Amino acid sequence: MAEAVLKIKNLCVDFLDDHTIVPAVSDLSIDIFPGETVGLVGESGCGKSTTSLAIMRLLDTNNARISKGSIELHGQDLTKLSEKEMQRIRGKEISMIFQEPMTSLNPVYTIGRQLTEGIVLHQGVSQKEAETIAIDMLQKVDIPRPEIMMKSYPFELSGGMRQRVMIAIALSCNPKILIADEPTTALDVTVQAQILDLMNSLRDELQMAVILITHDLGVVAEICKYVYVMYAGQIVETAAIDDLLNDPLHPYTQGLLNSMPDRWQGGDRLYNIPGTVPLPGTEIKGCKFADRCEYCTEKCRQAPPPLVRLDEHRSVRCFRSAGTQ
Amino acid sequence: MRVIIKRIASAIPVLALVSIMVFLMLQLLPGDPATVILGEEATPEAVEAMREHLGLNKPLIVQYFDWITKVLQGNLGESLVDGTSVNQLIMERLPATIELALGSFLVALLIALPCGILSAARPNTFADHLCSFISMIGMSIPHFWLGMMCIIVFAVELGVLPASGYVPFFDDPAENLKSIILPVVATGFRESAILMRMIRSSMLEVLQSDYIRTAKAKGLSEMTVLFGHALKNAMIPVITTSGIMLAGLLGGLVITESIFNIPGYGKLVIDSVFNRDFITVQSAILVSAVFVVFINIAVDLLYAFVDPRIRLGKEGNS
Repeated sequence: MAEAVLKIKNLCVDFLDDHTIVPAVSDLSIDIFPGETVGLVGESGCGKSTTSLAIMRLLDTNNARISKGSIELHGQDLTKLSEKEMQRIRGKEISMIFQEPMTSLNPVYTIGRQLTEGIVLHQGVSQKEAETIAIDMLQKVDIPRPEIMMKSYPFELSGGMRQRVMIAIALSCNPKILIADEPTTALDVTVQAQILDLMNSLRDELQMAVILITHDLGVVAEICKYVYVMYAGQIVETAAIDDLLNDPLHPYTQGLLNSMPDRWQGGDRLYNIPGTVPLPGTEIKGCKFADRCEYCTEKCRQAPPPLVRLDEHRSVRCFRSAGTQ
Repeated sequence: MRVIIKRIASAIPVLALVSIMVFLMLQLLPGDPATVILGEEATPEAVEAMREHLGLNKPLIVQYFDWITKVLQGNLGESLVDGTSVNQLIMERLPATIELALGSFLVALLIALPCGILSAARPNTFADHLCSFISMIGMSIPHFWLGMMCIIVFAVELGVLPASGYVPFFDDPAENLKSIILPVVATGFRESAILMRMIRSSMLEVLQSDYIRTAKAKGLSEMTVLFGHALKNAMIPVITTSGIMLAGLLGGLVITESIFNIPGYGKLVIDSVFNRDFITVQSAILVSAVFVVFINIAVDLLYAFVDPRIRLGKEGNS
């Protein structure tokens, strides 16, 4: 097997709230291989976006920090790099697209300018050459009349078009890794499918690794090879997508799958997981999902379950599912 | 181009309204200009004759149209005090005030822009607290007091700058600069305080936005993000404040002009009010109103220049 492009090992991210330290992500380990899409799935507030910002080192340094672990890109630990060195990685080696295409582009500059500035910066080409590359890129993301689009402003574009532009910006320097943070959440369902198809084909074309962050298991099923399910800052289950869909092990994953209206077969009322995600900073001695879990036992409340590896691609953080109960 | 014509057209009713209000307001002031001209001891007959001569006995509406017709022809009337042309009075006083206003504005920008941007880029650091402190001082010190302190330190103690007076620029540029440094700094410092807070909060808000995160994710340096991406967006609300400020400066430098004994526009208006020189006051206020209106038009045009959503005549939905 090829070597992983990105190895995240035991990553811990803390939020600093008025001198109290609130763990937002704990002990997260992920390996990502070229040409592969992995999904990071979980409810709002489970630490998905924090993880992605940590990889980019874009966490607000005033109230968040990486407290432990490493993020290795081709063997180089990103957590140890200076801000200047990180600037050479961002946009060139690792790119990111965000949830909100409506607000993610600068309203006062043309698409052309926003596209070319990264190209000029990272590829050291002239503005003219950058424009050629940019037009090429816009064509790749299926934007009609790219020459005219270069002179347009973001407000003149629809949400789907803006997200295509965001993808074009992100991919303009052939990054090794693309982090897509809920790239389709704000879009219409039809546009969603187009954007996902586009990401799929560009991933194959450019042989990059994609980290897809989403709460939508439907989207994950569409394009991911492996899935990491996160809950309250921890990975609770990892699996190849088919295994996860056919045989979810962790009660939380089961709950998530049951929450998909298409899959729910329990009656007229849609399923929901009782309760809510514990607030970050809540002191929990045992399993973080215990309060919402229908299988919860005394043991689950006594000590936190470890992430147990079941086979090469499968691990689960649950006493019951891992058979250690 | 259409925007400019539209804005100028919409300014006409505003100015007409201002002219009527100024005219009526001065009618409410106690005191009779005829008595002012002739003195307290004048006979009732002489006063009556003077009133007739000045046209004060005509109906208000006729008086208004007499005045406004002349104004539209470019004649602002004659001073009631000594008969000099108001045009000439204004032209004499205006350069000093314009120079002071623009100078103060420039000083305000020079202090506020770097400090505001710095505090927003490094919130809650020593630099930010220092800038906030400076701005607090600027806001809380009365600028006449600061003006007097400047005079005491730089003119009286150090003797490096003149304490008061004004030398027109074309008479002696070097002396002119010397004569306006103190008033301009005293006024500009105060104005910078408000502007600095404004720039800071506007920058802070912009720096939180999604497109700044996008810019950082592209690998742009902090400087490019700050000045290339954030500043232009943050300037949109600041332009409004600056416009109001500049307009205010043009009309409201009376105190500075009094302290530094500069024969400016504000002093002209105040002196004329005390002299019951109605014609000068109403014409001078009308001219200020024209300035304010034109600065506002300039602000609107600047908006369009900065923000393509306005320039292209559409409201962005982001």
